[in-house]
Amino acid sequence: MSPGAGEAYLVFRAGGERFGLAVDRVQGVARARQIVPLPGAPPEYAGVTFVRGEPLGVLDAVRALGCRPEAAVRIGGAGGGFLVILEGERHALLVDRIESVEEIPAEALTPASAESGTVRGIVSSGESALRIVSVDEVLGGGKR
Amino acid sequence: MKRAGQKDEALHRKDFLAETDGLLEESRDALADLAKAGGEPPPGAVNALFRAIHSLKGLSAMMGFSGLAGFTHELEGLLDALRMGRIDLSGDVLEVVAEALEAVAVTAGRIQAGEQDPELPHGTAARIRRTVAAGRSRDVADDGSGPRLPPDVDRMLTDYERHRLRESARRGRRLAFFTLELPVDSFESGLRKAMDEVARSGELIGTFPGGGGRDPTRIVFRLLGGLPPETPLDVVASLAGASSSELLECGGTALQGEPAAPLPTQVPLSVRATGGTVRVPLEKLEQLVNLTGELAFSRSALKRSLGKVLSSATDRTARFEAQKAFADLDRTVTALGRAALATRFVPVEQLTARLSRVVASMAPSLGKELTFDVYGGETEVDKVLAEELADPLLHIVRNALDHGIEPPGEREARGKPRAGRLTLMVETRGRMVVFTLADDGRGMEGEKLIRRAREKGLLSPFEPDPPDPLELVFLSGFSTAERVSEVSGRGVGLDVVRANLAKLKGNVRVTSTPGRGTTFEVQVPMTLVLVESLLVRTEGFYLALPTSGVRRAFRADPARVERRGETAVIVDEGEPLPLFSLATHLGLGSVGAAMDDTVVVVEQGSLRAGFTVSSIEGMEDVIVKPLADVIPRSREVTGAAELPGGSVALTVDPGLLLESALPRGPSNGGKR
Repeated sequence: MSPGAGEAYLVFRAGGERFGLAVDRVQGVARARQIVPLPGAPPEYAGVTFVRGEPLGVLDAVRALGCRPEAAVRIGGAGGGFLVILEGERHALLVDRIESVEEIPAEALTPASAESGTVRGIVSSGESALRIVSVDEVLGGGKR
Repeated sequence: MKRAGQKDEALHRKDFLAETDGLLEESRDALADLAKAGGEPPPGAVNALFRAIHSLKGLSAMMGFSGLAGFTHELEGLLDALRMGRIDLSGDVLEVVAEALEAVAVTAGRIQAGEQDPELPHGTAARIRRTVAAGRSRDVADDGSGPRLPPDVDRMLTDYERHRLRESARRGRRLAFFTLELPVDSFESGLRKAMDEVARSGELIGTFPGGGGRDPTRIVFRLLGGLPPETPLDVVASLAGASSSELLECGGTALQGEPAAPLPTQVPLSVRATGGTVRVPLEKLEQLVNLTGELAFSRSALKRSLGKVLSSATDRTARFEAQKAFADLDRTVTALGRAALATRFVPVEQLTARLSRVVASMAPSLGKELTFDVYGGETEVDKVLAEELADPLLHIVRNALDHGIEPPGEREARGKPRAGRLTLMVETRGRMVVFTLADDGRGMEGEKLIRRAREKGLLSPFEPDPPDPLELVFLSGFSTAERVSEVSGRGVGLDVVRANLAKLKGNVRVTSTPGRGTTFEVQVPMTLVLVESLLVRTEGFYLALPTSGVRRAFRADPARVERRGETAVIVDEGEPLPLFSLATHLGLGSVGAAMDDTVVVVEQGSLRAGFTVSSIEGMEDVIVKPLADVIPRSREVTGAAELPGGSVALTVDPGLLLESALPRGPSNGGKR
């Protein structure tokens, strides 16, 4: 990528923190409806839900992104929150709020350390830090 | 039930017209692509047009419409000249093809109106002939300068493939072989993906089987592609899933760009439908079913909020009107849901007609005489299922033709009529559709089958004779190795047929009487989409158990439940029945919680166990959507379904539930 050229990120909030996901990995967003827990699924899974007639595995962003591991997974009922539907992955991420789509120049991104798990880099300008997360890492963690 | 041989002609005509409509639509689409393309005809579009007209010719001849068959034969000749490069794509050619398609559409309309064998316009036929004749002088000769191919592939090339190969070389494209090694029981999807990928990158010139094959579980194909010079070969190979790729040496000279012939900007295209049917891609139907599901969800939400609003409404008239409007909406949404599902169902006749065509074309080449009767072709099954059943049924039919029915001389010597008889009976039993295919051929002898299985090492010398020797024919390696004839095809055995039917939640059984014939019975559920299920609630969750795996349900008196070691047991129907809490077993409830008293008896084959649930909500036909493999969960949970009220139920596979609950071995508490 040339200097100054930016990549677009969908910015959302989960567990009080701000995260960004590359928009080309996002198929769409939807209001969360009934999410049914899946027996035998890892703890970061909120369960399964239907979006436009197709069942999707739902990862709770709070747990999957490791921001507040002690936070309770929200399950059952119509619940609150939004789903970030991941492109071609049959999965969605359950988040608290969708904020915006932002273009972020490559040089604004501080690469995260290898131990940061799902977080690829951090953008520190503005009101609070924006953590850029990797879809593959998030899904890899969920499937493990 | 109708007999195919005496079936009323109107039904045949209806099918013919529906098929003609579809082929005309494909032809018009291809013609529109040609018109957009400019001077060099895109091979995909020319071929699609050629194939559609070729099919139409065959169909017309089969139905006895000789006028239409003759006309489409002329048109096919023109398209062949075009695809073989004997004539150029010009405005004139496009116009004459459009005119011919219009003439076919008009003729189909006349057939629909009841005409027996309408004649087609002589003027158009003459114009087709003139166009072909004008191009003759430009016949393309093979000057031997084309690319060099391995001799085994060279022998397999059709004239058309040879022409495309030369064209590709002439245009300076890179010619490459991509080798695929695919699992024999599921090669179709891998092959399709690879063919699409090569076609997307340039042009797929040909697909050739064989060339290797030491591993009997894998089948080898080589795809020949013509790719633009800058195409990275390794990337195409990787996307196509090829195990290797190889660039061919090219003897031809590259083309430096020829001027394109001027084309008219618009080609007259008819959009008239003839048969009262419309071909709709399956995805659109699925979208329709999904949207009706969404609508049902919105209806439930509306019902809840309407209830709240109306409870405080003071205007009685307005309240009544709102309730009535909602009741109307409720009825319509329910009816729409049913109608949307019904669009997926097709008469099984569409499938059996294909089988009949195969039998008709294959029997003479094998030197066999036979009649093929179909009963129950009007039975309807899910379109997806009909497609999936085509290969297994075709395999069984080919098997009967090749190995079952004897040659006429041998039949006469045995005191049988010269012509063999093959009968296909289609009927529904409950929610299953059953195909019974019987031949009156030589039958199978149990002893011979056992001997053959021992010779092939499929039964060890120490193993006793199996109680049902006919089951041996479904063993991998039993039916494939002895003789791979042209008819039995690619050497795929009945084991693959059974495995593929199992994927459709179906099965195949065989019975046979030596000297009298063999009968195969194939059973599959009518649809994979709609599953009659027992809906239960436990720990606040809805679970759906397909009723095919549920024997009964009852309320248990806790005093009758005994403990035998770790397992709770209740005596049911005179036998001890192991008892489990469904919620605890699936990890939905807390371990050690008191068991509910409603017992659902789950049964699959010889396995049986009781699972306690909080309540039984009733029986529903639910649309089951399989969960993707990438979603981790207990393996008993195979899918999910949206219920009419907007809730989501997880579907539980009874067989897998029993497997995980009951310990293996003869000592388990389950009835075996």
